[in-house]
Amino acid sequence: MHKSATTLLASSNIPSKNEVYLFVSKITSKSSRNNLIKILQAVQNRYGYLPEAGLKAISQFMNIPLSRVYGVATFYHQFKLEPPGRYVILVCMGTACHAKGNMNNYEFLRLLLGLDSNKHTTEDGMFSLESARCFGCCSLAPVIMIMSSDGSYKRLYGHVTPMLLKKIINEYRVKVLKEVTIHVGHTKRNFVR
Amino acid sequence: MVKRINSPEDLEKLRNEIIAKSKAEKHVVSVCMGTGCIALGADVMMDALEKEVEKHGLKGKVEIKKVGCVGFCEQGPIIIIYPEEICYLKVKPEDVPDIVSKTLVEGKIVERLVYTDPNTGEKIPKLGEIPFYKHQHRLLLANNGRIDPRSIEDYIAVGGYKALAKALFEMKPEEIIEEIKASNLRGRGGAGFPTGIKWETTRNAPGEPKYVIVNCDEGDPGAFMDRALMEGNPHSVLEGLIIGAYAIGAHEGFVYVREEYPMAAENISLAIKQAEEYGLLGENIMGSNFSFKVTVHRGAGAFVSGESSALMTAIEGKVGEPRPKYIHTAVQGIWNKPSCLNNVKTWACVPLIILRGAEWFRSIGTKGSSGTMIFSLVGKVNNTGLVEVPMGITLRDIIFKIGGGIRGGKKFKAVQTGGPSGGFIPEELLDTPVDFDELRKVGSMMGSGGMVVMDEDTCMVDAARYFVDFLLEESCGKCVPCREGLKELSRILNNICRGEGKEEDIQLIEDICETMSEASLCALGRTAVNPVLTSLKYFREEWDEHIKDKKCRAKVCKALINYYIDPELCQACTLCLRECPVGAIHGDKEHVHWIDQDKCIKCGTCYEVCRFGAVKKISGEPIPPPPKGMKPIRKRRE
Repeated sequence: MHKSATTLLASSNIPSKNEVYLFVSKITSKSSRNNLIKILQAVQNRYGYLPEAGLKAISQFMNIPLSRVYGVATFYHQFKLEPPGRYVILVCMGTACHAKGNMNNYEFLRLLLGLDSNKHTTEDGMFSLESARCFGCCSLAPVIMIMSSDGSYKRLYGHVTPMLLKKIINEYRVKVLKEVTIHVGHTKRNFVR
Repeated sequence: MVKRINSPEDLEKLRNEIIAKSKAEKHVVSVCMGTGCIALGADVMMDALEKEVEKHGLKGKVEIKKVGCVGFCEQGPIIIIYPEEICYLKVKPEDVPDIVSKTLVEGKIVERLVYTDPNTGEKIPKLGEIPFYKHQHRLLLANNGRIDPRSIEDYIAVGGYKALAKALFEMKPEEIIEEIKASNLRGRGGAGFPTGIKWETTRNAPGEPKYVIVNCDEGDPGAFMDRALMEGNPHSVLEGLIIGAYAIGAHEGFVYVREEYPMAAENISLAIKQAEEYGLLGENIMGSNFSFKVTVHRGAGAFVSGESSALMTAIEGKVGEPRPKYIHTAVQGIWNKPSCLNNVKTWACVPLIILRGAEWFRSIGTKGSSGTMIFSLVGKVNNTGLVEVPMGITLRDIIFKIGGGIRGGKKFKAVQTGGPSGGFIPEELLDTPVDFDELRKVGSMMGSGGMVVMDEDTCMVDAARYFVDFLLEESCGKCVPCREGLKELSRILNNICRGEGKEEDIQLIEDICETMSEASLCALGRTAVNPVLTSLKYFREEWDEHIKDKKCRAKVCKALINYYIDPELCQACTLCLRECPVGAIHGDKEHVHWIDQDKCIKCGTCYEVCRFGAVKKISGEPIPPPPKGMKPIRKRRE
């Protein structure tokens, strides 16, 4: 049962070029100055990442070469070209976190989640692991942040250790399974707070 | 509907009304809602507090305020009760009933939540008397903790927008610029360029329109004072920006907030909206002829975008690459128009200078650098958090008086100032006064104010490698010295950390650094060499140990360390054995454990979980062989 529930997570629907084009034309009609970064941010907010068709749609809509859109999308850290997992684990790589051993935590998480340098998202689509730039919570170093891929849920964990991480990841596993089984069962009860 | 403020008199009237209204309430409870405190559970505690206050029928008598970061993040969640200024630290939801029934009802202090001096054991209930705060001089951060950042009325009540009224109605733009020049205010972003001169350049530059920009792309890892100001007192930044725009003659402004600071962007956006409603922003500000509008631009995550010309191209929606500055951005910036960019703290200083005068501002700090500076003191110190001090204070005072010394009684090794552009400062230079010029003399720089303290457990080669790798990732790749130089530096430094360093590497590093610092296009490349050079200069022996002895004395560099279980100390509790993620530990309940070095990935879990201190890290010495057969444990004497 668990397997069928989690494979549901992995199969996210990829938006078509037309769909993104429509979305972009909707959000830009209001502002007079069309700013590429702002459009990319909006598209990513909507879909969780920048689908290839989306980049093409933006290029067409703004009448600029696809290479320029791609250039901006790959220059900034914020933009993702691949769909993220349901929960994104961000490991802070700021100086204070580094000095307090967050690299170790990162490698531990990679091991725990079965990821490597080429693979950032777990097979079941539950977690993505990313190294992040300083959150400015250096007093609580080392710090990780766990956020849902749509950004609606965010939580910061301070003073993390491999032991604590193991516990946190297990909590999220339970949480995701609950969310998904509820979704599958069409019940309206909201388990997740 | 809010009534628009149409004159300075309107503002004063409104201020008096707000103050009269708030007098009815006896206690004000400020709950820190900075990102740090929320991570520690301030939001849950806040809910409990609201319920408890209502339960005791104190609604109307007690005002609960969600305030911005008060800076003592280490001890969060924090509550401050005014007017007594009682400060409660590490408050949990279950402490709330006591706070309400004892302090708010009976006026007594809850001893267990009060700050305890670790040296004397003395209880210090008053915020201003806690050593962490006592030695600070809070100007910019003064109102963090007193006002709700999401309420313009709170800001007006503490004298907000008074400076704007003075600037608009009593001063000419030129007079304002003269005042800023006289105050000797220097750019708080790190370089320390005189602000008044920058403003004058933009004012006199040909071309319309002119732009003003707030740089809140606080990319330095280990720095968060701009975040605290934007989250905790956004109106002070906005007021400074409006005054600056008036002085420069700009009618449009931008606030660039980095991606990682969602709350800062939210609070400044709200502040802008409120200011517009009150007539403090928009058309005919406060009934004058001056109009000005501000837009918030969310960054997309790029360290180099904190550089002024790169930030401006980012606002234009392009790849945030810097450009050569034969022509300053103050003359040709956004869309090639004159653009004046200043750091968050610089803008926040402006209302204070206008209101209290240049002379007052100059009286604080040193001759070359006036005013105060906010540092984020983090790393291995006891009290981490935000520290605002007058320029010229020594590093020793910051780290030992305010920071309370090194955590866990360890030995101080270095302090890193200025983020990836700064350098490491060793113990013998701790009496260096902190200002723009003195820090540069010792090979570091002020930067935007990050201050990371390192103790004997920090490896200086690894720390230098960390900054090089950080910058390698962040270099935009436009110019060769920075792009290729960092790549080579990273390769060499990683080799050294892996124990594959060669003696001639040091000379090569120095040569690359020289080229980079001379020939890079922007400050990112030019200052990238500072961490490497200062680490080499002050901690050369550690480099030699890495290269020659394959030893990391701080036991940080993974390739150079091994974990080992001391058979004399092991109590065979099987905890490490169970926790080891790769199953590298052997043994059972009766026999001492040992680590299979071939399997061990050096994650340190066993080291961390061992309650008997039996797991040791060793470096540069041979690993004792595993016990032959099964060795029974030697029970510890009780």
